[in-house]
Amino acid sequence: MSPDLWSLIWDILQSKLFLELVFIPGIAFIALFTVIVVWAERKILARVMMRYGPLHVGKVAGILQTIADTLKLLFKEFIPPRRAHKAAYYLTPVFVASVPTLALTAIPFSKDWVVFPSDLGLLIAFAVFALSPLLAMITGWACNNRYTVIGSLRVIFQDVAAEIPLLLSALGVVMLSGSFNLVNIVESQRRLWFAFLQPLGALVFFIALIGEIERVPFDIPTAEQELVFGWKTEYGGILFGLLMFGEYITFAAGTLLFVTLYLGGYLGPSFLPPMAWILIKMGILVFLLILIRGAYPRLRIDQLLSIGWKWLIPLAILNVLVTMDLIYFYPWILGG
Amino acid sequence: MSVVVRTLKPLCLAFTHMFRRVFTIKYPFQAPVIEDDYRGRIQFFPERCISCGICESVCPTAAIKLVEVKELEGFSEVKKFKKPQLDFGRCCFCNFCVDYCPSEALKSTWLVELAEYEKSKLTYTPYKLSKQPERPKLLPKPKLVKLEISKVRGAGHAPLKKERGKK
Ligand code: SF4
Ligand code: SF4
Repeated sequence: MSPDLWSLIWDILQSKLFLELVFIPGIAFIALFTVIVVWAERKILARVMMRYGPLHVGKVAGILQTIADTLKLLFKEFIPPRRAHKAAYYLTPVFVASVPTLALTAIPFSKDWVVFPSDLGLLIAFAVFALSPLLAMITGWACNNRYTVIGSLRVIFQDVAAEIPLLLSALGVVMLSGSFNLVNIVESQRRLWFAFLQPLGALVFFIALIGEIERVPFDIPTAEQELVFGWKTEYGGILFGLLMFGEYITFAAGTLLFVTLYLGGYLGPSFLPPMAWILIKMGILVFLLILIRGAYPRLRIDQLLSIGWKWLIPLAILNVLVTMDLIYFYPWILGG
Repeated sequence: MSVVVRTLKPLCLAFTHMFRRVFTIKYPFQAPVIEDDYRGRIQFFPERCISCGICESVCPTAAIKLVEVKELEGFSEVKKFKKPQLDFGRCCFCNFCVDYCPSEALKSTWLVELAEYEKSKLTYTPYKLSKQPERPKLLPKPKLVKLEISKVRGAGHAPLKKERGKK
């Protein structure tokens, strides 16, 4: 190979984009997050239920259990249903696992550590979030099974009930910071986190987020006890692994978005780098979400809809009105 | 306000449960102490048996069959009478045979680890049935733990004191 090619490869290896794509928030971060969070979730849930959880694989507290499970999934056979739409059946898990990673590209991990810096970062994240129910719907339909179809219908119901309050409550943040750019949003929280400026909006966003990323108590589309495994019923082997992977990337993206919008993102005292701060805040939020999974029972679909329509959306609109008042009467809050 | 309290209470409860002691017994490494009159493997006392056959007729799973025993099989004083032979592959451990035996020749014991590699080994001849129950040699020797329920620490188990570790 010519020296030109070598220097080109060396340039690519050194470039920031490469580091971002490979480490944070790229492949290494996603893989590590999934491995650790799946393990932590099993361990924490086990402790909440006074069990041990993973214990033996990897000597220390079963830390390698997730890797062992992934290996198992890799070697398992998957059997497509005879009446399934084959192309959609095989392709959608790939998209389910890869589309949510796009949301991570918009999240700033420090002032200049964004994969895709854009003035519309928040909208990009929401657009990606809006795509995943579509994929779930296609998956459920492609499997041609009653459970998957019911599951994907529930995804759509839930999405309408969760996504509108999600967007409306994020509107308050946008009004306060005056920008859709996530870096600007974080920078305008230097004086006070938005979670303190608009606790109502943060609460609505948090609840709607749990619904959006389909976690307990809003995991209605994959309700194991009623629907076998919801829209993922027909999958096995590594295709199922990809679906779970996608679920946990959505989890990561959702928590990162909440941290960015309400908890000051990468801001923090300067003895730790900004990247560490956003990861610490994210870790606390992930722990809280896992604890919520251990504490609350699943809601029925009609209960979720009544929460979404009767409480979250009115509260989000109220939050927007209060924010308007705040900006009009007390502009010093914004530091202006 | 009470709504907030009611919503947050399960969360706090779940958090405090994380620091409770674990209820699980790591079975092959730990084992609970089982009391002597547990409904485990049946023990047979041949010298008390009057060969009435009640155990055979009362057994709901037809696990007991009266068979002829010979002196060779280890019983010196009992001669050619029929004695119960028990198939633990069928037995449901209901203890009817123990309850109905008129001369208390059958007794249930603490031994519950009865697994075998071959099904035929589960059929216990009267002689085998009359032996003292013994923990199988295949298993690693478990640490015995005692179940306990306390109002402060909840249900759980604690390591056993030395003097009770006779099994
Ligand atoms: S074991 Fe008891 S019930 Fe059975 S034959 Fe002997 S005496 Fe009768
Ligand atoms: S315990 Fe019940 S099932 Fe077992 S041998 Fe006795 S009577 Fe039959």
